[in-house]
Amino acid sequence: MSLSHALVVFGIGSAAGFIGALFGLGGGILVVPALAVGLGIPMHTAIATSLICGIATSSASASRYIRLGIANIKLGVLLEPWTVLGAISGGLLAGMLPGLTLMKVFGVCIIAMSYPMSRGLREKGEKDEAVDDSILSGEYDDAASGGVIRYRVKRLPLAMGVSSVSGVLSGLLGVGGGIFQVPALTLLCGLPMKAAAATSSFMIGVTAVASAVIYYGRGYVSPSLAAACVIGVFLGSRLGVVVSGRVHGDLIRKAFAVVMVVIGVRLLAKAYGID
Amino acid sequence: MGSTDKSVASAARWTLIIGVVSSFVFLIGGLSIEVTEFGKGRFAPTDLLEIGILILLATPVMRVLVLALGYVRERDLTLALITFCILLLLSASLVIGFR
Repeated sequence: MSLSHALVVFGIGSAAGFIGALFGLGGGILVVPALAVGLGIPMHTAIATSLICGIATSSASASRYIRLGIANIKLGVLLEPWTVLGAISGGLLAGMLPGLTLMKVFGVCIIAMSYPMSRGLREKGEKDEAVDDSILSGEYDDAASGGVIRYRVKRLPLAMGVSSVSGVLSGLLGVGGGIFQVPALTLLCGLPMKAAAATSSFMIGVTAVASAVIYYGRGYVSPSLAAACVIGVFLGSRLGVVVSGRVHGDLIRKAFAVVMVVIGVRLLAKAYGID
Repeated sequence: MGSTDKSVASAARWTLIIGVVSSFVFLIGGLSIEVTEFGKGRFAPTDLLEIGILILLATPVMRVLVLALGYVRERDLTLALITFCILLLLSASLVIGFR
């Protein structure tokens, strides 16, 4: 890989990581189309690269959330078998599909994901003051409110189902699955948003590795491409997290939803040979 | 979380940190040599990059293993069983990938 090529890939990774962190998404939703459409990287390699990036960023985030006590580790452990099963299924399915088909699926999915992005996610977690110390309860110190947030996890079977779906998406398309997991944990399971995001981040690494190993074994990973992208995504996402607290608004989220639609249409156009 | 929980969580956290940091050492080193060709005769950049990627892939797996052992130590057999199931599934994905 030449220096210029490495810098381009690093730049793509940084931008994807930064924007992804800004909107609470993983970088994968941008990395895959950027590599596939922007650089003409084969879809399977782009997805494999995205999965590896996801492992790095989520592992770093998870370590921080564990230190802060926000990630519900036990809940994550309960849901991980389902995300891993889904991811293995997704990885196997991806191996059976040609790159152009994956591009079409990705295009449709990213357009579909733009709708919940445009709506945003309102905090609907139910904060219970009196919760038992069962396996399905959690608490953490919330710096913003200055108090302890306690909650009880509800509808676990439903969360397991959603986790399977997010695992399939992860394995098939290289997206972290957080775009489904976080709303599911918040809206269905009653987790506060921070705990949902932290727990999802905790799970993404294991979910991603379940299918990344399949892609790696089948020779879809380009080491130098992955390295340049991982480093870029990692640094970009670190910066994005810092800036995200200062970014407000529905307007920016809606604008990004439009960008997602444009990316999806671009992917579909390329997949159908309309360029 | 009780203090035992915290020690298990801490072990998981450090597993993740060590994995990411060590993988990045190899990834940055390998990529630097590859693009600058400085030291290319002494170090094979592809080998360094592969090692870095393998460490990154192993990191979440090691995190699960650390949790599994922690739950065994805590005598939390339900969670220990579930984490060992996760390891089994990850092993299956490894076999599938290299079949």
